[in-house]
Amino acid sequence: MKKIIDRQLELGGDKPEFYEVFARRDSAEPLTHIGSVEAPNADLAEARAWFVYDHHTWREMCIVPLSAIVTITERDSKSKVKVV
Amino acid sequence: MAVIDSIEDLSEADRFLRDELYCIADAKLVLAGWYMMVLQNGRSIADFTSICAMMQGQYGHARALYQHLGRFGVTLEEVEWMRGAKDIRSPKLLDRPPQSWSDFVAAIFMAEQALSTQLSAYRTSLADRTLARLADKILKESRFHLSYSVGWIKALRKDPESTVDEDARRRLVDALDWWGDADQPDVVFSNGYRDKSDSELRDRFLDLVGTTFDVPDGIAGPAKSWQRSIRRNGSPGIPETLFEKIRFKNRELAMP
Repeated sequence: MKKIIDRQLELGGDKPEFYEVFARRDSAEPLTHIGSVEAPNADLAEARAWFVYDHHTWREMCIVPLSAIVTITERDSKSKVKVV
Repeated sequence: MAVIDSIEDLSEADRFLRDELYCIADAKLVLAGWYMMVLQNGRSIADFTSICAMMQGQYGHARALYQHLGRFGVTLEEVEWMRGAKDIRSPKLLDRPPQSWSDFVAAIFMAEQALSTQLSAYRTSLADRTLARLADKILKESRFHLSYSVGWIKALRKDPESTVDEDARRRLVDALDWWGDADQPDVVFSNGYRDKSDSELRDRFLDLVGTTFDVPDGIAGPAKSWQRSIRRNGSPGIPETLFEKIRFKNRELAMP
């Protein structure tokens, strides 16, 4: 049976809401972009990021809504941060 | 450490602690079973991954708590293979299968919040430092389980026809059965294993739930037959149908 998903309700709208995920394994490492998750809000994005990118024991992890990122080199090109 | 051959060898405080840890571990076992059963209802691969991780987390917590029960003479063989539906001490909250995705989200929010609230009172225990460290580790891991359910509650509420608040009210009544009778002696608290009494933890749970849902006054049901050893009213055990879903299906294959 095909799964019926209400995109507006369950995925944050017809236009996907992405959160970029940054992490580092120890304080000597720079905070690095490790991927992104799609979620309708920050709480769910936090959980999904933590569970999806669990290949290391991160010392620090944070998420940034894609909409909050100001592009510089790619200004006006409509390109996004690399989505993993 | 003394070898415990039977429950009669335990002090009164250790008997109560053993019962409470059994209840927490069994709750985690049943909750893990729930995550396993609803996995295919996830909305995306990231959701599948999250549900799998929460399932694995709950099984891991249950295993670690069962192992800690070895201190009280409980063996893993007894815990995992020698018990039936009547012997499982999970909360009434987890007896009723999820009626919808919204009801599932409300139920896991209540269950995760209740278990984390109870375990938070063990973090400072000087009477059992191993248990204190275990509780701390479980709490750190469970934080993301709560983020998951809170995120879904917020997403579901965007729909004016969402039933998540009604589902939560029904589940809250069942969740409070876990702290059924505040008048019974709280030996685990009075002996310093927990740093908060059951009645304080109940209030704390309601405060935490209140940050996400409206909590009506006087929501608790009657507590006439509440038993501390199983932390619920009524008869011990879980429904046979639920046990059939969560039990090992082949004991021979499961034996090491």
